[in-house]
Amino acid sequence: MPGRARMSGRKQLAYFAPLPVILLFLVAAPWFLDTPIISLITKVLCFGLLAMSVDIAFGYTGLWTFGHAAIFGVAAYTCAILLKGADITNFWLLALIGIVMAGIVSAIFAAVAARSSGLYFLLITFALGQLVYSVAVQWKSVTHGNDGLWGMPYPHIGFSLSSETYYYFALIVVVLCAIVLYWFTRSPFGYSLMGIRENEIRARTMGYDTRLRKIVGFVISGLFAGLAGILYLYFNGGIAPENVGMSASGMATIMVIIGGTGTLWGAFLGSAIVLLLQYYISLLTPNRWPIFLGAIFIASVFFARGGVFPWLVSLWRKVIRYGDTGS
Amino acid sequence: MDVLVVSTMAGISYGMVLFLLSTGLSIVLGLMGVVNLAHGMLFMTAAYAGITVGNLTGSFLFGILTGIFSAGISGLIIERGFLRQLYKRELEQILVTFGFIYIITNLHLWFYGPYPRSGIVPSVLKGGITIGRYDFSFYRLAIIAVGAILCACLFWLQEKTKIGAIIRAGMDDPEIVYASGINLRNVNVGAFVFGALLAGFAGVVGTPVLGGVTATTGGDVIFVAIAVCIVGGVGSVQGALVGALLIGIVTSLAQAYLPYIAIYMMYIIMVIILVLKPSGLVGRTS
Amino acid sequence: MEILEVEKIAFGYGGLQVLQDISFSVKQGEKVALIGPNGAGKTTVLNVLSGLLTPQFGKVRLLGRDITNRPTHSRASLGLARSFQVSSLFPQLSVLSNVLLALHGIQRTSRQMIRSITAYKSFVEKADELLGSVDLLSKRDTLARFLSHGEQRRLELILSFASSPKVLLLDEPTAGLSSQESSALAQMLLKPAHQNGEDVAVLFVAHDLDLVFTVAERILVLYYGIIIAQGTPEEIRGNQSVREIYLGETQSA
Repeated sequence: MPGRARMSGRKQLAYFAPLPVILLFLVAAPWFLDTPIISLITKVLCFGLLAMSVDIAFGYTGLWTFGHAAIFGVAAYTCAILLKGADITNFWLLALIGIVMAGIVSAIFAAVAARSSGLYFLLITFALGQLVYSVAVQWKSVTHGNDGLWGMPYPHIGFSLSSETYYYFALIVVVLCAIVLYWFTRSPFGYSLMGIRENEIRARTMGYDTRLRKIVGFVISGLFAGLAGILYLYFNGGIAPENVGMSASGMATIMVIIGGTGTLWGAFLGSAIVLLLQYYISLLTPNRWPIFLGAIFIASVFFARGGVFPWLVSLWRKVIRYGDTGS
Repeated sequence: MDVLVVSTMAGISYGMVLFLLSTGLSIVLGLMGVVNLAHGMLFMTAAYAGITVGNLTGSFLFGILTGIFSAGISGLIIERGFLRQLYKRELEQILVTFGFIYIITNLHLWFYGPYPRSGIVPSVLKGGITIGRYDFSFYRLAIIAVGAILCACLFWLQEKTKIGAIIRAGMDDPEIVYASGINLRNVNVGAFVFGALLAGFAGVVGTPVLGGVTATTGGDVIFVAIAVCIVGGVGSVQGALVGALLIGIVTSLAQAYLPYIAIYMMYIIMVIILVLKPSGLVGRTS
Repeated sequence: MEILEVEKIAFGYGGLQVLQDISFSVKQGEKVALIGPNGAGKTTVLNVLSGLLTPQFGKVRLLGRDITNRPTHSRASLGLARSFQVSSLFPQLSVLSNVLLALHGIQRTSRQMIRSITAYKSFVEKADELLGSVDLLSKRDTLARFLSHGEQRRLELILSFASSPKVLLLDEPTAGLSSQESSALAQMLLKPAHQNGEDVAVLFVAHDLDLVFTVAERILVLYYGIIIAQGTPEEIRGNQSVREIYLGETQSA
């Protein structure tokens, strides 16, 4: 990560140690955790991928997007509609078309919003996202309105997946996406997006076509959001407008902010925090959980400034340093 | 033709309610750059409180006062308790006000129950008047009249008073205002609370126009208020008026003639304005 | 050979005419200073040249090509670079990242969406070389926002040198630098530039008259948006109206 003091090779290894541990945990999870928890983790994976895509647009490029759930939803709805309406059953084909649709919608969003920044970008993507939501609700003949489209079978990827194996499928897809996105954020293009976020005028005088890069960055983000939508569609068995509208977009943005913008892994962490909290609190108080969730959002602003992930990272560094001086 | 006239009038009265709701949001956004997603909550809390008290006491006026008061208090708590520490930190403002939406919505659901409450129409304003071939409801006419009067007052405040000048200057160049020895912070808080009071008033008197209030109203109206700010332009009374009337009338007409796309209309207008004139119809170019 | 030609540029907004009838040219490798009292419009000239502002009238030509309506980023690829009066950095990125971005700005590289930015060894070496030339190598991994004011000014400068430009527009390059650092900068500007043995043409805005008279081969004097004098340092020093308006009685020249 830029800006960190160089550490010795061995310490660097220790620094990254939590990652493989978490991965191992996730791989072994089905053996010692109950199905509802595995189901929850799968949901965290899907929304984690969505949150990471939001982080690319929002945290890295500085584009305040409030319509990513619409992109997520477009991909999911496309697959569901084609499966039910056009009877296309090839999973790879469906996924491809879904992702392409997500890309097209992102391109439209970005092209319309590219000249704006900050608050206005947020408002435009919000309006466009709500437009998509309205279509999902109103176009009843195709989307079944508020009921949504249901009855999605598990995908057939050479062999049929089931609820047990879908977890691993999702895990593999999300890990691969995370790796690709990680490389992307460390690439010259990824850095140029951060440059645009930090100082767009300077970036332009350095030779970067910032408008084009914002659009490309947004579309790349949208492609991954679409993929997240498809993963979620099959996990959930269906899709409904509530996954497409402003509260879903808002939730995705909240996940990124809580986890820590511009950190990529923070987005994932934010997704885990929000969904896990939502799950456990609603077990305790089925009707009052939003109050606690709202309170936690507010508290995180004052107690975990900059996000939970950077806070955890600084804790971990202290641990490593302590361990180092200890020996 | 009848439908056109009646719908337009309904749209204007709806627009007036939106105007009262959104002016506060627009001024605060222009003046402080604060994103207060919980602004809609103020409308809702005033509506519930005002209607409950109004029904209990049989006094419409008392209901209005209660509503205004509860909105003002809530606004003050949110601003002084939380938002004031997040100056220039828009991300965190979004997160905090989002949290408030969750909390306040659920509290209202808990306290008032899931069934919608209809607004209070005082007996003196019940019924309608027939002009020519058209029937107009007294209440809606009264809303339009009150809205117009308030709008004139607010515009006068904005253009002709010292405080209005300070606020307009504060939007353009806060540093100069501070340098002139004016405590802009206090003015900002005052503007915030004033906006809350307006929203509270809108909540109580606007509920009959909106058809009732439920626990989701707070979350619903904030987005309409944002649309008003975008379409009309942030930071001015006239911007809020133009945006509110446009959205009010178009939505109302759409509901009458093209109900299938009524729900899209507001967003389509938003997108068009954002593409053609991002600062809003009456907005200052950023 | 004229590398930069400015022809009858006029720029204004609202009721204010900021620049009028601005015409001058800069030869390859020439060092030209743009001086004038505050508010004369000097930064505006640079903004028009770099494409951040569009003039109402007039033409700008770089290497013979008309760039008047070209967007900023495309001027950079033609060899135009610029520094800012107030340091314009990428605050949350490291010093090294700042320079790497400057280097990658005009270079198309392969696999630029997937390969780590630090894997392009030649760029990293060049970045380190640049950082070394302004004594910032030790701050390589510090975030730009944590640099001291002087360090930020030095970073600001190498960001504009980084792309090995043909024309360098500098806005108050020594503002905020100590007198030692200022003379070091003056020496840097006088030295012939790095690659191709080609000299960089420099147009710099300055209030620091020591810098101006040390480095400049020609001086342009801007007063209320009009160039009232152009010439060699001796000519300018001797120019009566310039003395009255700008240099004032205190200059003993």
